[in-house]
Amino acid sequence: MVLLQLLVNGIIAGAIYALMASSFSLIYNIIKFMDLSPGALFVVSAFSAYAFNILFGLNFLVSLILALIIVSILAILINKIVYKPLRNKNASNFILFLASFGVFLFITALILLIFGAEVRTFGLPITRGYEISGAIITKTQILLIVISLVLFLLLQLFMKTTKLGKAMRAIADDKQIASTLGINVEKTIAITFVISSLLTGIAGILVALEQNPEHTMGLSVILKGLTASIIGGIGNVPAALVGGFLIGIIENIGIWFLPSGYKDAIAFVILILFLLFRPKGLFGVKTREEASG
Amino acid sequence: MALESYIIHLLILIGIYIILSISLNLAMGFTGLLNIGHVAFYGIGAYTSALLVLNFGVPFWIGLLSGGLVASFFGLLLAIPSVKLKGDYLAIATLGFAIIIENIFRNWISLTRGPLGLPGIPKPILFGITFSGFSYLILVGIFVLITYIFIKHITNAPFGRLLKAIREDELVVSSLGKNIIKYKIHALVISAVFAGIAGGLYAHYITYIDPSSFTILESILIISMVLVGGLASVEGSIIGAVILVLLPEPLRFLPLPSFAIGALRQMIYAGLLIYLLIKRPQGILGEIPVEKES
Amino acid sequence: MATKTTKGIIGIVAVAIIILAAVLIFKSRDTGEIKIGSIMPLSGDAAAYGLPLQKSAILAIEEINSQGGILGKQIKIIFEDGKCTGKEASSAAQKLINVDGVKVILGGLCSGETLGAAPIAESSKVILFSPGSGSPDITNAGDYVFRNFPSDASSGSKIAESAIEQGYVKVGVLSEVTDYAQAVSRVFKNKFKSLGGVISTDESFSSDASDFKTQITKIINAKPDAVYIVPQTPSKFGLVLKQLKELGYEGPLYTNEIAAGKDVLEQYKNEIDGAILAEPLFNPDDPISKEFLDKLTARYGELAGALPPVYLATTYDAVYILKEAIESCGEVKADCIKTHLYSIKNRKGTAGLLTLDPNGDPLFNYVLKVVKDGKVNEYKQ
Repeated sequence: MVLLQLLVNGIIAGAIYALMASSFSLIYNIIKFMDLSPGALFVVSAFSAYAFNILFGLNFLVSLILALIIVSILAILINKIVYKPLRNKNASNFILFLASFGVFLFITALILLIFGAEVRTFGLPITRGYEISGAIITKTQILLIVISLVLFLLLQLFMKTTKLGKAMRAIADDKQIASTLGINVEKTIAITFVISSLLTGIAGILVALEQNPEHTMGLSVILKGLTASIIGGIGNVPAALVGGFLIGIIENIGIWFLPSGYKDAIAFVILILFLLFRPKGLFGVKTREEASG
Repeated sequence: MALESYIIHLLILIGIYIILSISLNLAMGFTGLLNIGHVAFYGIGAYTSALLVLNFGVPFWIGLLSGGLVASFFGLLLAIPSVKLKGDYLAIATLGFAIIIENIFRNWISLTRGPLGLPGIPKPILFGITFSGFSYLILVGIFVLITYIFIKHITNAPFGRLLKAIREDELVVSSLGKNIIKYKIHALVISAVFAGIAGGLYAHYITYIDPSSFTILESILIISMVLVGGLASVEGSIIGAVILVLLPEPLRFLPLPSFAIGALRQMIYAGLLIYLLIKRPQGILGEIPVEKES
Repeated sequence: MATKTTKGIIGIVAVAIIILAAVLIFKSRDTGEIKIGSIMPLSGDAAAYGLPLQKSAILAIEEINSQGGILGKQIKIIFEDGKCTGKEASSAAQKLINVDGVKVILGGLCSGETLGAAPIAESSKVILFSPGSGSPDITNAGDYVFRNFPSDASSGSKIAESAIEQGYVKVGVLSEVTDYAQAVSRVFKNKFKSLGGVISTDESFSSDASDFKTQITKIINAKPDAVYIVPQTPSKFGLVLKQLKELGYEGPLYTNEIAAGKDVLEQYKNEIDGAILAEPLFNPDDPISKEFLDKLTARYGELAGALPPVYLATTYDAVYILKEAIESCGEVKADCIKTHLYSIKNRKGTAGLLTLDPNGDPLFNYVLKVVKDGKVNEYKQ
C-alpha cells in the first residue's frame, strides 16, 4: 500500500540523514559550531571510491578503505588549516560557520574540476526490488539502512565504553575541566573529526552506490543532516538517529500532498518550526555553555 | 567607447551590491542579527517590482518602492525568530528562510514562471527618458547615496548606539526598560527595504530575472562583502562591495585552461574567503573583532 | 586604524585594479585576429552540456584556422562562463562586447543565458547565435538574436499526439524543475488535454535532488497508461529510470532527447529500451553528421557521453554558419551578418538542413524516435 511505500522511501532517505546528523552532532558537541564541511567530505568520499573502483579498477572494499583514508586526512587538514587557527583567535560561531561554507565551496569546486560533469555510475545491476506488503525495496537500499543502523550502534558503543569516547564526552561537557583532567584536547578534537568524517564518508559511498556520485550531492544532504541534528537535539548524537528518520519520513509523506518541487523546503520549514518553538530539539539537553549564550 | 560601457556595467553592479551590503551590515554588524537570508529580501524586491511592472503596467517608481515594501513585510517576519534565537542558531533559521523563499520562486510557477524566469522587464522610463547605461548608473548612484546617508545618519544617532548595545548585551538593554523587539524589528525592516529596492534596481537593469540569481551563494557573497569591509562600518561595506565585485573580474583574464575556468574561479574565490576569515575576521574597518562570548 | 593588514589589502586591491585596467586596454587593441565571443555554462550542473559543446566549437575553430581562417585572419574564440544564469550571461555579454570588442557571440546554451544576454546584444547591435536554447521566449528576444536549435514548443506536442494515437488516455508526468523541462512539459500537458487526454499525476523534481521515489510512487499509484519523463540533467534521468524500474514500473515510457545521450543509452540500456522520445530531427548516420561525430571522437575521445549528439552538431554548424556569414560580408559587420543569417535556406550541415525564419528561429522540427538495443531509431507508429 502506498503509505507503506512512502514510509520505506522515508526510512531509506532517513538513514543517510541520520548518518550525516550524527557526524554533524559529533563535531558540534566538541567544538560548538555548525560545520558544513561534512557535505564536501561526503562528495569526496563518493568520488574517491568511484575513482578507485571504476577508474583504477581496484577491488571495491579496497576502494572503500582508500576513500575513507582520504576523507579522514582531509578532515584533519581542514581542522588544522582552517578551524584551529580560527578557534585560537576566539572567532565567533558565525565566522566558523562561514569558514566551513567556504571549505565546502572550495572542495566541491575541486571535485568538479577533477572529475568533470558527466554521468557516472557504479554500474550495479538494476532490478525490481523486493516486495513486502505492497512496498518495494531493493537490496542496496536494505543494505543502506542496515549499515547505517550498525554504524550508529557502533558509535554509541564507542562513545560509552572507550576511553576516547569518554574523553570526547568530557570535552563536550566542559573543555576547561577536561583539559585540567589531563585530556589532550586538541588531539581528541582531531580524532573526533576523523570519526565524523568516517561516518560521512561511508554515507557518501552508500548514496553513490544507490544514486550515483555527483558533485552537487553535498549541500542538500548536510543541510538536512543539520536539520535532523537540531530536531533530535543538537549535540545529542543518539537523538540524531530519530531526527534523521523523522525528516526522511516527513519529507516523503509531505510531497504526497504538496507539489513535489517543494520537497527540500519541507525539511527547512520543520527546521524553522523547531528553532522557534523547541530549539533544544526533541531530546536535547542544554550544556552549560549553551545556557549562557 | 566600449571600455566605458563595461566600466559602467561594473559600477552599476557595485552600486547595487553596496546597497545590499550596507543594509545587511545594519542588521548584522550593528544589531548582531546574523542574517543569511538577506538574499531573500533582494529576490522578493526584484520579483515584486518585475511582476507589478510586467503584469500591471505599473510605473517603475511604484514597482521599485513596492518591492521595498513587500520585502519589509518579510523583514518583519524574520524579526520573530530573531527574538528567540542567537548566533549560529539565528543564522541557520535565516538560511532556512532563504532556502524556502528560493524554493517558492522556483516552484510557484503560476506566479513567478519558476525556472522560466521573467524576461523582458522594461527599463525605467521617466520624463520621457529611458534609463540605460550611464543614466542608469546615475539612478543607482542616487539610491546608493540615499542608502548611505540614511543608514549613516541613523547609526550615528542614539538609535545606532542602542542597536550596538543590543548586539553586545541584550539583558542590560532590556533591564534599562528598552523594548528590544521594537529595535530589532526596525533594524530588520530597514535592512529589508533597502535590499528590496536593490532587487528592483537589479531587475530593471538586467531585464531578466530567474530564481538562480537569488541563491544562498549570493547571500554568502553579500555576507563576505560585509565581513571584508568590517562589521558595523558603513564605509567598510562600500569597500567590501567594491572589492568583491571587482575581484573575480581579473580572474577572467588569467590564462586558465578554458574547461576549468568556472570551477577554478569558485575555488579561488572560496579560498580567498577562508584566508580572509582566518587572517582578519574583523575586516578592513571593522570596529570590533568578532569574538565568541566566552 | 591603517594596520599593516589593512594597508596590505588596500595595496592588493590597488594592484588588482591597475592590472585590470592594463589588461582591459591591452585586450581591446586590434590584434589582426577575428574575435568571436561565446557564452556557455562552464561550471555548475549545466557544465555537463557546456564543456562538451565548448569542445565542439573549438573543433570547428581549429579546423577553420588550419584552413586559413576567415578572410585570411585567424579566429580567436573567447569563452565566458554563463553558469546557466541570466545574470552571469549578461555580465559575460557586457565583457565580451565592451572589453573584447566582439561583434558576434556564440551562445548562450541555457535559455536563461540567452535571455539574459539578448537585451545587451540587441542594444549593442551584436549578433547572438544560440546553438542550444529552446525557450519559446527567445523567438521574440531580438532582431540580432538567432538560433539553430528549435523552440521547445514542438517537443511536447509531438509526444502528446503520439500518446493519443496509441490510445493512451491517462499519462503521468515527471519533469525536472528547469526552464527547458518546464516549458516542454507545459506544452505537452496543454496539448494532451486538448486532445482529450488526462494527466493522472503531474510531478516534478529539483535538479539537485537524487531521490525521486516518492514522486514515482505517486505516479505508479495512479495507474497511468504511460509515463512521460521530461529531464534536463542526464544523470538525473538515469536515476529516474533506475528508480522507476526498482519500483516496478514496466509500462510505456515517453521522454525527450536527453535519452539519446550515449551515457544514458549505455549505462541504462535495459531501462530505456522501448522508450519513445522526441528529438530535434537529427540523423547520426547521415554521412556529413557521421563524419563530424567521428572527427569529434577522434579528437576528444569519449566526449559525447551525457549529451544528445544533436547539440554537438548544432554548435559545430553554428561556428561554420557564422564563418560563412562573415565571409559573405567581407568583414565582421553585424548588420550585414544579420541579413545573411535571415537569408539562410536549406543549408546542409551536420545537424541536417537549416532554414531560418524571420524571427531567427530554425524551421526544424522535432521527430519521434524509439530506443532499441541502445540505439535511437526512427519511430513509425
